[in-house]
Amino acid sequence: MTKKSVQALGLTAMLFAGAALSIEPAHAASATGDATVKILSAITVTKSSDLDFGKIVPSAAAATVAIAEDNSRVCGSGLSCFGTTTAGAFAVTGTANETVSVAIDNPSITLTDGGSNSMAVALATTTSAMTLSGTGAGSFKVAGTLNVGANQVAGSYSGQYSVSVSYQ
Amino acid sequence: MGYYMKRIMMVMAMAAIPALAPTIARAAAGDLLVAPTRLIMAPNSGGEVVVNNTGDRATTYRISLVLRKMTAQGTIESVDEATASQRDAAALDLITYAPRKITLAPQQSQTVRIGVRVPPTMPGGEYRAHLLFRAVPDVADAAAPQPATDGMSISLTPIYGVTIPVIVRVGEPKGSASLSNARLSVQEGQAQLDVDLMRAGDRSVYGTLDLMQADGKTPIATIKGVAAYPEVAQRHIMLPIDRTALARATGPLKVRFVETDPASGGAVSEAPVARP
Repeated sequence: MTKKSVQALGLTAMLFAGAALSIEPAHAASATGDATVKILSAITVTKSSDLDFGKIVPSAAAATVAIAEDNSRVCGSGLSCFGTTTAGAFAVTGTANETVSVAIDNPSITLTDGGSNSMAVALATTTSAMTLSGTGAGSFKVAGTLNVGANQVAGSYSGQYSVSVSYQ
Repeated sequence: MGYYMKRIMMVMAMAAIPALAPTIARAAAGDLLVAPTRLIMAPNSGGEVVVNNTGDRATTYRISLVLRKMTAQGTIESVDEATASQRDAAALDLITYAPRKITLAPQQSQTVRIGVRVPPTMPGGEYRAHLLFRAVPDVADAAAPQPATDGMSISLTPIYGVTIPVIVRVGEPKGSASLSNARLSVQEGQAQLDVDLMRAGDRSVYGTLDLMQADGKTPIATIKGVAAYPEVAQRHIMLPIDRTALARATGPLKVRFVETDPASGGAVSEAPVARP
């Protein structure tokens, strides 16, 4: 049995004893001065960069713009792409050596300009499971492929995607 | 059964929940802390999960019960409720939870109550769903798209969440773990151990994997919180290894899986590891 579970069982016993005492306080004459503290470990996910496709000028033919996990861009034929591009990046900190799974919950999303115009985006990550380092750190990236329609109407398109970190 | 006895048993059940998984989960997008990270429940029992807003702004969190499945690679994938088999989706009907939406001020916390109601006709076994905690994005907070004067601009808002498994065991299903096919590889300055975690029986297995000297006590490398769910008879585990620690180890190596699931009684399985 690990040390942690021994401590946990000890805490359960303490709580149980405490509950029994509170029900029958008259019998709680000799309370001992035990004190317990339970140190909980935590995991944090923070966004370190947005998935940014840069600026795009559409053409008469449909094409795609792909941003890889290394932030590089592949601009589809006919399109003009400029500006800086970045992959989505997330930092994870938590318990040393703990394993968690990473998933994009909606890998196919639609961006809209608030009106009737839309574009589809496919999202992917090469990190599906992650073991946090000895210092409890980890990270993962999100790549995306944007489908730009023929003569896609210019505008500001927005959408959301969901990433979840799962315990086993 | 007397009132006191019932009350004591209820308190025991509540107390046992955090004891099973003494870790907490935390995510940003309105930083979120969830404790514990794993629930194992008996039929007709209750438990609770604490949600804490560790961020510095008031945030609304949505809580939902979702299906996930494990692959042979050990990854966890979403399962569409509409296409899931009746057996796989059964847990959704067994588990109740409330509230489903919480708005918390910074540093404020709230308890989500979890209940399990199992009909007497339910076949024995393990049923599982996952509680998903997700911060609802603040509309005003979403990255504002740049005005598009020269083409189009795109703004993608990520929403992050944390899921924890809620495992319901009906009739004490048995299960056991073993290790197979352990192989050490060193390439391009990276060392790693690949091993298959074999699972038998009707329940999931859960524990800690260590690489160590066959005669040693101190792990060379460790992964905690590794599970194999009932839908997989085996799963792959990749354990990254610090080469300096590996170089210090002499003699034969072994890999060890120590179960930390309370149903396992701390069972230990080992397998030898050949050096490359």
